[in-house]
Amino acid sequence: MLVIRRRVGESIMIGAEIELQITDISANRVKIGIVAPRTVLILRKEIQLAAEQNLAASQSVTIETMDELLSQFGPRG
Amino acid sequence: MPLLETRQFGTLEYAHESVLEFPCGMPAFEDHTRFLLVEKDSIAPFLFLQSLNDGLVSFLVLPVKQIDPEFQSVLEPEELELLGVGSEPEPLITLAVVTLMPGGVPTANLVAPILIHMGNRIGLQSIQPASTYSHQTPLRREEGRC
Repeated sequence: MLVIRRRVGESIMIGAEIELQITDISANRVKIGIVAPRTVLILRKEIQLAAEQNLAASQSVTIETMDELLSQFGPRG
Repeated sequence: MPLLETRQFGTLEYAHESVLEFPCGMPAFEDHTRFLLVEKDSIAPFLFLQSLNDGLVSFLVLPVKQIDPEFQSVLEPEELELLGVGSEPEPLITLAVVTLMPGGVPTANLVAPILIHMGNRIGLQSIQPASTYSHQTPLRREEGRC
């Protein structure tokens, strides 16, 4: 991983078209401004992880996996 | 009462008052803004969060307290505002989305719990900041039963 030190107001270029600017820094957060072509998808990584996990979860529930789950976990009694 | 064709429950009849609004949907399901929480003795303690936008879309969920009694979600000010949380003790429930694995251990996503304000009937999926929890927390037998 490439690690670069930057101050508020300074930028990093990724290729010719993508610019990341550090706009603010607080104790445990940085605010980043992004200039990029519309075609570039920008996502907070944790949102992408949540999206992938939601898709996997919603597709994982079938008659077979539910039978298996309920034989192990419930219902009570 | 309105009816919905669902994958899990066939035709489901529901009351307007039981509809939950998810103004932002959920990641990967941003267009799904109306849900029902379906509770059945046959699947307790699990529940289903059924999309009203598409009967084929539902999530198996489990109250997080059943997985980790100590679990505390951290909510951003915008999330509190969306849920309509004030200073009073609020009827908030917190659920984890469960993923099943054929022949494997089911897991719960504790990084992205679902919070529902049962008073306002508003819900959201909250991504926890720098979470110490796993998005694939294994469910253990006893935990599903308590």
